[in-house]
Amino acid sequence: MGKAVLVIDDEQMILDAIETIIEDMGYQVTTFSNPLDGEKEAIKNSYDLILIDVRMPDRNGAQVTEAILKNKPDATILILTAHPTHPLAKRALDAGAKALLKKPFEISKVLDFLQG
Amino acid sequence: MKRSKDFATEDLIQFSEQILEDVSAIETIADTSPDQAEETISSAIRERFIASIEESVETDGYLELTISEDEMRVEASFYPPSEGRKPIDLYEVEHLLQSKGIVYGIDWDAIKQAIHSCNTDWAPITDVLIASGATPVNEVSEHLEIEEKLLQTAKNIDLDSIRVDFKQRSPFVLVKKGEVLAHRFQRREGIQGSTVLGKVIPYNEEKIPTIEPGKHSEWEEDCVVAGCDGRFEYNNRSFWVNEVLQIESDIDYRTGNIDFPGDVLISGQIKDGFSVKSGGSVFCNTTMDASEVISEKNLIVRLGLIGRKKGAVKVGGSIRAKFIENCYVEAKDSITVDVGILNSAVHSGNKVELKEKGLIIGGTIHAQNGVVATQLGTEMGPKTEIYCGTNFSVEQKLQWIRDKSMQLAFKLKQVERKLQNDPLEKKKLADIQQKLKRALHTLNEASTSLLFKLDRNEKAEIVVRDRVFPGVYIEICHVSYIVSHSMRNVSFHLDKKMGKIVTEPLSLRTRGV
Repeated sequence: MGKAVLVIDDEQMILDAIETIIEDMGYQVTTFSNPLDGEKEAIKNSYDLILIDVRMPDRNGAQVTEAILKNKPDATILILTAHPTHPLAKRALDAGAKALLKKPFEISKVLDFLQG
Repeated sequence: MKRSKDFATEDLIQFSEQILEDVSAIETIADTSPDQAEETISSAIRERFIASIEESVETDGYLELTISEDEMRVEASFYPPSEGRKPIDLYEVEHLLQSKGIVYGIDWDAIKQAIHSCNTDWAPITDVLIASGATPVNEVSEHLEIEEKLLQTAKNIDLDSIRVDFKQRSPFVLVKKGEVLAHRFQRREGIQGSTVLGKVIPYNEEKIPTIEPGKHSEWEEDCVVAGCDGRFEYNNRSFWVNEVLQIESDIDYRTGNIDFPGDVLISGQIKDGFSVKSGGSVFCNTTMDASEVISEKNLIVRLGLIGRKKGAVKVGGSIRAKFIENCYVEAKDSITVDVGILNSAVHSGNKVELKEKGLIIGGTIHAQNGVVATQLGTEMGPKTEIYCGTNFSVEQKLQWIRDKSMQLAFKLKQVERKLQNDPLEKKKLADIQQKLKRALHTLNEASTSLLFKLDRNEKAEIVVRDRVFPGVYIEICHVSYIVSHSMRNVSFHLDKKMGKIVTEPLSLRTRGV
């Protein structure tokens, strides 16, 4: 059984592409385009790695990160962002996210956290 | 035409004597009666007139000779005889040549041919070269001669070609190690010459300036070859190969693009659109406007390194500059800067180190083994990102793979959707789906193997001697940190156990770095 990855991003195309790539690497991938649904899933089940887009409607990535880590402080969360110095990215890092991934995503970091 | 003049003098004397003879005839008859004198004169004139007519009408074949002033050529004109008179023969020519003292270089074949033509065709044959002198051959001492092609100062331009890329022209003659630079010419004995009159012309000793092989040249049998790759240079005493290409001017249409196997020393500017490639190090005495600079070893810029659009500086060794501004820079080894790095993309396989007043403002710095600076970012300045702990070259490859993987993944999703909606093209679509999946898998395998080459340095450290401003992004071994408040005298490093970046006040030891 491969490690489990959860991806939360409101852009379905990006979500599909990331899912395709990470699945091909041998990991189990679950995706959510609705941040709240994704947040609930992350709290409900265990994932080895969670990727969260920082800018989403209704509920941003920082809020989702904060909520997940409140319930699961050991969760490994990486934030997808176009701008590493974006204030929401900073807030997510402050909340406990491990790293920022430049959008669409960074293979090396994903593999690094899954294999490290 | 000394000899020709002599003939004219002889003719003049002969003609004068004839007149004198005629005059003397008149003198002898001066005492006779006028009628007798008149008769004598008239008779004499008539006789001479008749004789001259007879002479002009009926002559034997004859030839005229002209000896050149330098006595190196004899030309002859052959005239046919009058009807019934004796044609010119070889004996007569031989006799005439002998009488004139012509003994050397006689072309008997040419003479025989001319006699034959003259007597057969019954027409004058003029200006036939019948004897030639021999010029002496000078004695030449043993010497070296530089290869002709190396004496050119610029590459040949094909004027017939439609376009000439003057950027590709170079005034420098570049040679490869082992390339022949000069040949040895053995001593040549002198040979005496001779005039057609048999006068010996002595030979001279030809003075060929001695030219000696110099630096980075080696003897190889009868040749001198290049001892290394470099620029061929020479003067009137010596020739050599210079490992350093020194350019006093700007790099522009006068120099063309520079592609040199050794070190390059530039005193001027690199003009927009021109490139410098060096198999050694590049030294720039002033500010370097870098369009494209590639150096296999180091790059040392006395002043600043300023980038141009699409310009890039790629160095196999280290870089040293006073400042770097708006420039894309890659160095496999360390990058040392005195004053600052501004709005640049700087990549180092080792450390990026700024001296006492060194600031990093804007842009991205990727330094595998860490960064040392006095200031990072500014109060309101542009975004500054620092990445440490991984090999930038592998990261770039992974980024390329990421882009391609995304493209493949997008296409794969489109094909899969189409497969559901278009059963008619099922086979074709299934084929392409399989191909896309295979390609994506290949890329993912490449990513996984590249990951081992990231060469992590978890001890990579970012040291700030003075102040780091809020908003600066820091990443060590893929772990992120954004500076939230201004800090002084601080270092950033990775706490592996906690999996996050932590700050520490600079110890006295590191403050002096």
